[in-house]
Amino acid sequence: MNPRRLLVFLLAIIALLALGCRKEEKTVHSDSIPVGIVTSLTGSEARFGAAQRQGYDIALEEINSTGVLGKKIELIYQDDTSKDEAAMTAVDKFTENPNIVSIIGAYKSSATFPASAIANRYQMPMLVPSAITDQITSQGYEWVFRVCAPASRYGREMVDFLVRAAEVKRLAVVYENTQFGSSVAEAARKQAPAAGIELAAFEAYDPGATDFTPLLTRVKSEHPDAVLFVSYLADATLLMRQAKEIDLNPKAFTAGGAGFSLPDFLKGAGETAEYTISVTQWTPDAKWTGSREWADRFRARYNAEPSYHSVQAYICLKVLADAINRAGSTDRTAIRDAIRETRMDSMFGPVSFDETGQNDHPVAITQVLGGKFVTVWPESAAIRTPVLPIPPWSERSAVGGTPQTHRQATVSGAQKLFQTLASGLLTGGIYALIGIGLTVIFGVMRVVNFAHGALVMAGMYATYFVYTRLHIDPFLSLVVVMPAMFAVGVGLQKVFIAPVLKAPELNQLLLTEGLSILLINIALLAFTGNYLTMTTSYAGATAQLGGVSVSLPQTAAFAIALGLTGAFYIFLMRTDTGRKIRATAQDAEAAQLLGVNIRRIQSLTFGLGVAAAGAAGTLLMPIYYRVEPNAGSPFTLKAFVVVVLGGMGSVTGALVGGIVLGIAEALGAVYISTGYKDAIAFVIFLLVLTLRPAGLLGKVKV
Amino acid sequence: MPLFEVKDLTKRFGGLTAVDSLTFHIEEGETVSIIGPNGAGKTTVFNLVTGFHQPTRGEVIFCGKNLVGKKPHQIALAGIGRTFQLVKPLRGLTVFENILVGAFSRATSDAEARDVAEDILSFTALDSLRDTTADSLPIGLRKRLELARSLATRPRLILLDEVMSGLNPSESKEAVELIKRLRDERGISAVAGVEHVMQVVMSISDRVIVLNHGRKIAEGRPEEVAANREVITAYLGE
Amino acid sequence: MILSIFLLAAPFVFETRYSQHVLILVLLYITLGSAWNILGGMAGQLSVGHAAFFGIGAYSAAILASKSELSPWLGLLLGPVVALPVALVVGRICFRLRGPYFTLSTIAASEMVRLVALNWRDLTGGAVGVVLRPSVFSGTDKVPYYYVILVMAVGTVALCQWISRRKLGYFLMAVREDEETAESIGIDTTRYKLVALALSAAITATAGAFYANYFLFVDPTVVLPLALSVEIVLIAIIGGLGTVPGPVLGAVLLKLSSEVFRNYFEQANLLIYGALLILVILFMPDGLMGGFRKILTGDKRQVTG
Repeated sequence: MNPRRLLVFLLAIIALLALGCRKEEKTVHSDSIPVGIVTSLTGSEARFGAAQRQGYDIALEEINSTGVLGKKIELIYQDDTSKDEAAMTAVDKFTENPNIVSIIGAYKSSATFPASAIANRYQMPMLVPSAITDQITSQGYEWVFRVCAPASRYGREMVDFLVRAAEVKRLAVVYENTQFGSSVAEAARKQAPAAGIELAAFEAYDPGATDFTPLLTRVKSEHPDAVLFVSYLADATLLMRQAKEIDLNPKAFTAGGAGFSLPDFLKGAGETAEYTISVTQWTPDAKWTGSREWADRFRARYNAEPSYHSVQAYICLKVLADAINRAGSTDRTAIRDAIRETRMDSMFGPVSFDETGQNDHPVAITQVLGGKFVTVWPESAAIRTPVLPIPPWSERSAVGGTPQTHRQATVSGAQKLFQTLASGLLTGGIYALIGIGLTVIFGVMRVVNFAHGALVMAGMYATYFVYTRLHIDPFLSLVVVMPAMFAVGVGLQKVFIAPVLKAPELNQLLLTEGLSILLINIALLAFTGNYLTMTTSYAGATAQLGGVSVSLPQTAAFAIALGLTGAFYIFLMRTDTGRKIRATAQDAEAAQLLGVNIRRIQSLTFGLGVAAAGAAGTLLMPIYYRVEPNAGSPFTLKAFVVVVLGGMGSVTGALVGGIVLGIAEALGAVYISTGYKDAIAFVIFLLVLTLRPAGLLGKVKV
Repeated sequence: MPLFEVKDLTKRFGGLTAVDSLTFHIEEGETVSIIGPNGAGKTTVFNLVTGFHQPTRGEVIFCGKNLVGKKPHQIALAGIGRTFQLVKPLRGLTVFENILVGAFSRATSDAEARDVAEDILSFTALDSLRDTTADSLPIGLRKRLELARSLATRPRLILLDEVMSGLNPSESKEAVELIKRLRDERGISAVAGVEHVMQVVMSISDRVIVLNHGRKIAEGRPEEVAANREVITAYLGE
Repeated sequence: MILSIFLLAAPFVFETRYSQHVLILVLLYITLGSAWNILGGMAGQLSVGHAAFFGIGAYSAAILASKSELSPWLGLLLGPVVALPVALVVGRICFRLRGPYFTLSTIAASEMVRLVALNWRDLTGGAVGVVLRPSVFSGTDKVPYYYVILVMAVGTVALCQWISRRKLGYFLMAVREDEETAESIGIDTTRYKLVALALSAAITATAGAFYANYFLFVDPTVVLPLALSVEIVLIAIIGGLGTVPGPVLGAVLLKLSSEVFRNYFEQANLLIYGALLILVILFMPDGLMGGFRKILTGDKRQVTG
């Protein structure tokens, strides 16, 4: 092929791609009024997106039964897949489409805040149903209107409640380090002092964290009267479960809405959800016009309990329809002016916007009683008085473990330390198992497996499905999952790894990285980005040892991890195959001369490494109860830290390294800072590599 | 003053003494061979001289300056070139470009570097291959390229590590010719680390130094050394 | 010639904001890929942590906007100024390591920068991020931004081309091939690696500052994620590691494909990345440029400037 033809060929491909990039203009019926909706239909916040969609659908039906200006409203949905940048792009696209009259959305504060800047810049009216970060209405935007109450309101009501109903003097705030979490936490922080409340703790955590026990331990040691959680769904469930595990017993567990106010939370957290208190923007028993009837209609239509997320969506669309009617035109400026003049009485209360575009919406407080959300505050809206103080875990239903006869009022320094060490140790066992898989692969094949975390994730998914479909207990499913992962490993090795064994390291690295991306995205396509959660009957079972709460499932996992490590060790040291593996690790050529089938050993080893990773994934499920495609990613780096700590190629080293890392992280999280917890792994990594590259155990052996 | 001097050079790795109190010198324009059986320490000596290892004791003096403690690139810039036993051409580059890289390190301008590279290209008779990629060359030519690249740094002394290994007789002959021309035409002193090929040693060396177990066991003109009893036992007794 | 005319006229040919956005993205990634290439392709130091420099640049602009009266465009100067010392510190630590250890250490360093941005709320706004107001340009018209990034992209590619023909380029390639050999011909490998890193980091930071001014929103997930580092590496590698046209080709193909897939099937976007990467490594380890060269010229030069 001569150069000229090649160039033409190339340009043709590029042109083709460029054409494919052209935005498709969805054909719009001439007798409809298109409204752009941005929400999280897929991804981590899909449950909220679904709730919003339900609200929009009900509103649409109502509105289109009479029509607006003689036409029907048409909703054009854009899924932001729970990603902020996608929300921004969606809003951008909407503003450029001259047909779209207004936008409603998004769901998350972190998406809505930057998106609103875009809407405002391009002069597109935008209604905000659910994003509560104060910043949205403090920018002086003229085109953005918020229907729901902002974070500062949450803070005010919650603080008010805590002081007057619960007589709280010390408050611990635990929030996810996102726009949403920070806003509410900051609101609480600002308003607490005026009410005479002291902040016992103010901890941010990285969203998607798997282990809250160090953080909760730290909180427990500060003896708060109440704890305020600000989280989305997946974390809400885990937080409550782990709060029970470490026997954290404040007078009240409170929350900033979102995850804690979804019906899914009741399902997921089960009995640990009982007595939790949360702010809410609306409940079915709210005393507003038409509120109860609306709730009934929702239940009839969807056969589920309504949450305020649906209501907010519903109201936004109703407000918009009302504004368009009053404006008498679909001109964006006219609509904006009409929205400004809104005075509507609704099942969400009265709606009107002040000069910053904020609707003065009151916030109520609910408590989960008898498995339902019951409004308990303010008195004017309350159905009944709140149950305070909430009963400690031990006085609730007993699920395994020894109940304490008295509520632990104080946590001694020693107890805090031991609790931390226990957490760290147990987590460390899992780290060790993940590290062993990696170190064995590197020892024999000198391949740095960047796909290791993704393989852990695969083990987690496998366990999830074995449990939910075949009803095999996760611990038992090891018997099924490990051989399956082994087979997968052998397969991967033959297809992907073997061809690059002789290639430069760079290529191997990139190949395994490619494999990781592939695996994660296959999971994303197959299972979506939503968290899949599972519960076992022994979830949250704990034992109390001298004031230290030890999670039984986690202990079992640790024991099994140790057992597997031991088994690996014996296998490598005592069996014939094990010896062959070690020989190959030492000197592949010599081993080959001695008659060892190198290719078989390599396949075998990779299979073993993957099996170990899968086993770690299995053991993680009964502890953390949830999986999503990116769940394995943080483990890849940590596995490397473990292996580097213990020495590449050493099984005992991986064990030691894993435990050291687990304990270091727990200590760091509890005594220094939760936010920088992950940095500990990196710091250890760099320190070891620069000061003692052979690892703590000093030798390179398998 | 000799061009190059090694005094009491010693290197211990853990319990093992790789080089033991080695002392020798090289005059300007000399070609000296360091020979010895496998594991005698020749490569270690080269590594010590060129800064890849630090000696446990001793001095390395070149043009009156002590080189111990300097980094390899500084030693190279000071005027000591080196070829490696395992030849490593810059694979993706052409023959000319390989030499050019060497030339750049001491040249003060682009143009000067290119001139030097052209000169070395023809000196080492590689002109016809100037646009061939380095990794498509057979081993003999690769070794010559490695030498050329080192020459482009305009050294006064060049260390040739196992320069004959892997070469067939005719290639060896060519290599010998080249090394002789180094001294005769360019006045570059050379230290060759050669293992077995006595003929080569004889034909190129002004002097021979024999190492065994890191120690110098003989030194002198090639004929003298070849007849030395201890040297013979060292080789045969292996 | 035709190319220059096309490039200059492009924003008027593609009039929709979306396609202009794609053009800007492509040029941005050409800049990033080429900048990375100086360190990763030419010098052979495979850093998967370049998002750190991008983020530093972006935050420099953002902090200027949020904490001072100065225009965030000054971030294009401030960014590299801040990034350079960070780069040198990171370099000193990481360059002691080889191969996969080096790569892992760059990931660790980059993640630490992200954690700092996430947690140092007073300076960076933490998770909340910073919304910038458009400066100098209106923010609604994408055309001026296009020309800014066009200048940057062309400048960076030209720089790479220039380097590859000079001593610096050759020395970097020698470092890439074999550090011991390079040392033995008088190349101070540590110094040159640092030079490559410094150049690479500075350009990347400038690109980050540009992005802040263009996108008008900066937070740790937008400008500092690991995925960004990986994407930059992929572009350079799929295009052809170490070649000058490689990152250009890679950016164009990857970004266009990514947008095409985003339009038709969002989730498959990254899946394609992963699959492409694997395929390229298995069948065309020299990237697309290498593949084309083989087709064009037979056996000749493979990876060159």
